[in-house]
Amino acid sequence: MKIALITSCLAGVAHSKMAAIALQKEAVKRGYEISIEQQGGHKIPVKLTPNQIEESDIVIIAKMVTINGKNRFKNKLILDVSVNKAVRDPQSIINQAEELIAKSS
Amino acid sequence: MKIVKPSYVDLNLNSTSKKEAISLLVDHLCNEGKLSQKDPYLEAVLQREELLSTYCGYAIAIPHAESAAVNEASFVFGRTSAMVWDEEDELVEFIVLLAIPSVEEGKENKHIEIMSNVATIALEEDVRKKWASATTIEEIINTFN
Repeated sequence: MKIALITSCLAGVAHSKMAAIALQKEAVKRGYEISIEQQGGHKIPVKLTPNQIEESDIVIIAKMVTINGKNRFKNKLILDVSVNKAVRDPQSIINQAEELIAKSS
Repeated sequence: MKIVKPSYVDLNLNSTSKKEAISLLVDHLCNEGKLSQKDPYLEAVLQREELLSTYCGYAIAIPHAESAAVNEASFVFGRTSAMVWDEEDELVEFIVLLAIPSVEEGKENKHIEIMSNVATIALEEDVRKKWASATTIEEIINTFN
């Protein structure tokens, strides 16, 4: 399974990065590939490449308020979650992703 | 990953409210010379907190603000007996207060990257165990390596 992940919080100080690391850990543990874009107020993020988006089986958006550039993911399977939940309970989010993919295929 | 050490560690931050806890930790930052002015920074932290809580799960809160009143990127650590941070949410035992200097508008704030590394340390279960059991300030400081 290939995951494209976007995390976003207000300043990018705490939640955005913690969510990225927590989900990455869980995904790697299960043998999945994951590419990550972290959004925050302080800088222009390293963006997911069109290729990474194209190849992904699912796009996970872990956000506090909103993310930039959601139109990049039309036609993709999207899982929208709160950034707090991603930090606290990454297991259940990857579970949800697995279920969504199973349902859609 | 570049990490700074806490400027001050308070193992018995006895506070009963979020506001009091933050205020006590801001005093520590001030006493360590990390702030040119206390009030604008305190105000910014409380404002950020009001916008959205910085509770991160695992009994940890990471209040923070970027402010022109910050002399140097720094943080202080506080441990408290379990206290209410947000109504109807889990209790908080560890508070990491981050102070981030402002940069010119439109420029990348590299301090944020460094300070956000501090936040990720809290994700390690081993680290949290050490925070809970530490009896000396050095034990806490050593977790930020």
